[in-house]
Amino acid sequence: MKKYYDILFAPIFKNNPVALQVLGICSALAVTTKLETALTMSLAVTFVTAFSCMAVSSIRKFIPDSIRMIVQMIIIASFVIMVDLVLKARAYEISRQLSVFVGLIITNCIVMGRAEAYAMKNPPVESFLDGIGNGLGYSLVLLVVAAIRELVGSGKLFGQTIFLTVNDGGWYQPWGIMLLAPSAFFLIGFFIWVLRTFRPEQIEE
Amino acid sequence: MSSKKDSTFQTFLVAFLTCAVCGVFVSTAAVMLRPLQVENQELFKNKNILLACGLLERGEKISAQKCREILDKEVRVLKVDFATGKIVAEGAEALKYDERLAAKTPGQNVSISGPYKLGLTSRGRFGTVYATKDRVVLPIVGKGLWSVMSGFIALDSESLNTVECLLFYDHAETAGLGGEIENPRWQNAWVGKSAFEGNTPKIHVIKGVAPKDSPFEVDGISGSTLTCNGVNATVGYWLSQYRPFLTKYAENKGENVQ
Repeated sequence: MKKYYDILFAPIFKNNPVALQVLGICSALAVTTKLETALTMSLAVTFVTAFSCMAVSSIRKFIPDSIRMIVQMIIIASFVIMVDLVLKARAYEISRQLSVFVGLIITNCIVMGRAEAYAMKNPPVESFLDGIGNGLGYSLVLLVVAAIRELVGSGKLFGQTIFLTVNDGGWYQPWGIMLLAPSAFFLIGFFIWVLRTFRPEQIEE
Repeated sequence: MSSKKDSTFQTFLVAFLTCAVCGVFVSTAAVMLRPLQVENQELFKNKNILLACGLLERGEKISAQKCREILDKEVRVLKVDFATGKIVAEGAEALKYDERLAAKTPGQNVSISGPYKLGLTSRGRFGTVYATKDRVVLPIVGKGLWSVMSGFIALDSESLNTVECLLFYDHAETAGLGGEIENPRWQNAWVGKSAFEGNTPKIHVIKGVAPKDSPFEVDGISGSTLTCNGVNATVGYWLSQYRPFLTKYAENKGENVQ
């Protein structure tokens, strides 16, 4: 039991895919202007990572080395397309906002990275948990960044007004830069800094 | 095991089986979810037409069915010849016409030139106009800073000059900056302004705050100069193109005269 617990929760703080492995940064910049899109993206990535790792792991003994990357890619791409289709059918407005980024989950290094580094060597259940854990680690960073960007950048959380902005007749002058991609770099930088202050073993030589 | 796993036969077999299984899953999902997606797209567009017509409140929830009913009952769909301003078709036949498709089809399109920097190269020869008792709704489309913006501008059907509604429903401008063109507060600033001076489109967004009594100027959005330039070109271009239609429409009091 302890083993499964570790596999699931280690990627959240101890071995966070964004903060320590520095994977999946591109999408972390793109979809974090709002919590709503960040949450949808988090769920989608967690789902895709978990299930594609499980699928890859369950056929890992049959995959020839020469085409293993392509086989992983096909499996990941299939899950991503299904997520995209479901979003378009069930949550049309959100899928419009996420637009191209759902499709780009295919190129998210976390998914491919975990399939190659973990799922190819471990049994399906462990791989599934590892996928969920890494998805949650990615989600944590995404949600923290999105919460700060949405609150400071447009005075809202989940689309609900917290600070009434000047544009809407209130007092709050939003920080425009928070809505642009560079601010996500700063925030992720801060996140890594804070994490490494509390966990000095993550500091690289 | 390892030598067998890496044999040519096994390589082909695994590649084939993976593709086949994934293909079946993906195509099943695509076929099963297709009707829902089509319905969503249609509902989204219809909702925005109703919004521009003033038949739906912002944020109001409505079923696809109800949406279609209101559209059928209250809104006339007109296919309009840009050059002559004549109505060439109405109702079901006008609905069949797809301006976006026509804009890309040689023979059915006209290249865009003139003073407006629209960022698009061609448009269809015909346009689709939505008319209600009180309003005439004109679709507009043009390039902002990053993306093609689609929307509607609605004019009062009496004067064919007073703006009743402006909205953009599809764009990919920077959220919070150019994306503020979706902000209802900004869109409401257009209401009550005059679109034309004589026959020339005059309404435009300026930098900063527009004077209260100015009939043609709308407040700018800070941090969105380039998006606003696109909005100005878009609104100006389409108003100038719809001008012959508006003149004819006023002459015939909205009747469909062939």
